[in-house]
Amino acid sequence: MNLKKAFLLFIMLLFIIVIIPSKPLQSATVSRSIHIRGSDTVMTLMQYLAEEYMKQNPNEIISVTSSGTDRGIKAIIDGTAQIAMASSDINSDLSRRAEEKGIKLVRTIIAYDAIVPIVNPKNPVSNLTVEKLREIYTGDISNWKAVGGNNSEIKLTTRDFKSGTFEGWKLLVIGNESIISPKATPLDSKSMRSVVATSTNAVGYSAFNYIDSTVKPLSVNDIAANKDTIKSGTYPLTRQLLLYTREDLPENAKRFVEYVKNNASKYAQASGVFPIE
Amino acid sequence: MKKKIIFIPLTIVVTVFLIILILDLMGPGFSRDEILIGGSTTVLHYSQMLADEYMKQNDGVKIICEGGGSTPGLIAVKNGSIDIASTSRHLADDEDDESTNSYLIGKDSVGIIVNPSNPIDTLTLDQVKDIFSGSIDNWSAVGGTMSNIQVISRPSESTTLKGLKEIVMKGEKMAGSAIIASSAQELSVEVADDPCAIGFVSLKDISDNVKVIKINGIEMNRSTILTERYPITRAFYYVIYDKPGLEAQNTESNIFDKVAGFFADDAANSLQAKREAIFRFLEFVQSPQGQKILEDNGSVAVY
Repeated sequence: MNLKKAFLLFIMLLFIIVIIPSKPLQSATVSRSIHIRGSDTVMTLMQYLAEEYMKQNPNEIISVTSSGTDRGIKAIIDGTAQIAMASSDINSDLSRRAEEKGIKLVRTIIAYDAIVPIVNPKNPVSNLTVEKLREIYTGDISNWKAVGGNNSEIKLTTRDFKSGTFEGWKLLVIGNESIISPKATPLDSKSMRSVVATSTNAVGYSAFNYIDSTVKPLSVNDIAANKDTIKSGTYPLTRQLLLYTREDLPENAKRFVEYVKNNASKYAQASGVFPIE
Repeated sequence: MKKKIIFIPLTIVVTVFLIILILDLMGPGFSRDEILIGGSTTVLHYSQMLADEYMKQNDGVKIICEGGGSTPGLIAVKNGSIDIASTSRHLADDEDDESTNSYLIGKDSVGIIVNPSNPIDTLTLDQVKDIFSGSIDNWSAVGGTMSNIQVISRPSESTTLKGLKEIVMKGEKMAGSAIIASSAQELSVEVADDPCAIGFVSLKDISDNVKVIKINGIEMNRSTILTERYPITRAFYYVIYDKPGLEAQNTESNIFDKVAGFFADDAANSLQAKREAIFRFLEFVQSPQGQKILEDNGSVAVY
């Protein structure tokens, strides 16, 4: 009798042991740190904020990397980063991917920025309307003389196609009805500045905070981009700078996002962007 | 008689469960897992350090590290010929898709050092490039004293030199007049001894006897490297190509899955085991221990 009871008890124990699932494989992301990826336009502001936050919270590790808006948003959907920096709204492909994975995204505006057309300092042209810019970028206008400049072929440059700045240019200048000319050379922001600075007939466009003295910014619809015209919205090519996060953001990252919302205006000037009022 | 009839099948059931339990306790696979890492030749150095330590602690795993370059590595991981691609750049748009996940694993940086008596505080990236290539060979050209610049460099295998070349030099060769120091310590001594010298070291090799130059007015420290505001900084990633379909299976793995797995298709089983092995190694890389190995070898911890 004893042996049988012991045996049955043993079997019961065995069943209990095997039914308990073994440790599920952890996701490879951990929340001891905050990884931020995305638009290089938003990056300067986030760098200042991250450094100040780390000064005040020495145990926090905040990594910031530029990768373009789309790579940043994909990374938070994948779970390989916690915060995405975006200079344009999430595109439909990524939106769909988030939906498919059951991920809800939170969108936070942290500053404003302007995209400014740039030409070589020797170019006599100082202003263009949005329509003329569109005609140049679709290839309908290919000579500077058509817009009051020299008789020379326009050397067209654009930002790489998945960058937030290109998305902004597409939205604000090219529009949904038109396609950018295949003659436009896609470049990153530094290379574009370099080409425009050294080629007299080149045209490009840049986020406001990346313009330097090597290039000449144009006014658009006779309005020059500056702090006042951007904040008031009178400068036509203005956009919102955003953070995207998942709704299930870990606590430490949530605290940092709150810090960003409350302190972005302090570093806006230094970052060449404009605070939300 | 009745008791005996129940007893025999019960014994068989118990024996089977005992066997499976033992197999479960033995770990994810009772054959050695092999992980192949390929890609960036500068990340290779870090991968080898991480792999060595991981293999010491995990008998059942073998990790083989190769170079080949970031781009070939990405192609290889997608066609399954390697398991992890290491890159020293972020993915391009056409490289990033549904199954591709890139994990930041570390960041390294190069510090530019001069003699403590040098009045220069900051240089631009272009000036650094021109000095190390020899295009600028006098300190007066960058606001210093009228004296020739002596470049101190490292041998071509040095990872710090590779970092300098990749981030700053833009294809330009190092100055022919450069003195080659065989180690970071030796380089620092050369710079400390010569008021006209300039050299480069990683964060961990900065010593008290030299002056670290700011770049574009930005000081090199852990924070500015983490945010990449310090310009001579680079991030590394491990990229995994997570084949669709396996993800759902992998969130929980209990004994019944293992039983099913044991009798299921061998290929799917080993893919699953491989995936688990890869993620276990990745967790190690992201752990404090893994990050310390990276720090000890010139990176900063990103987790």
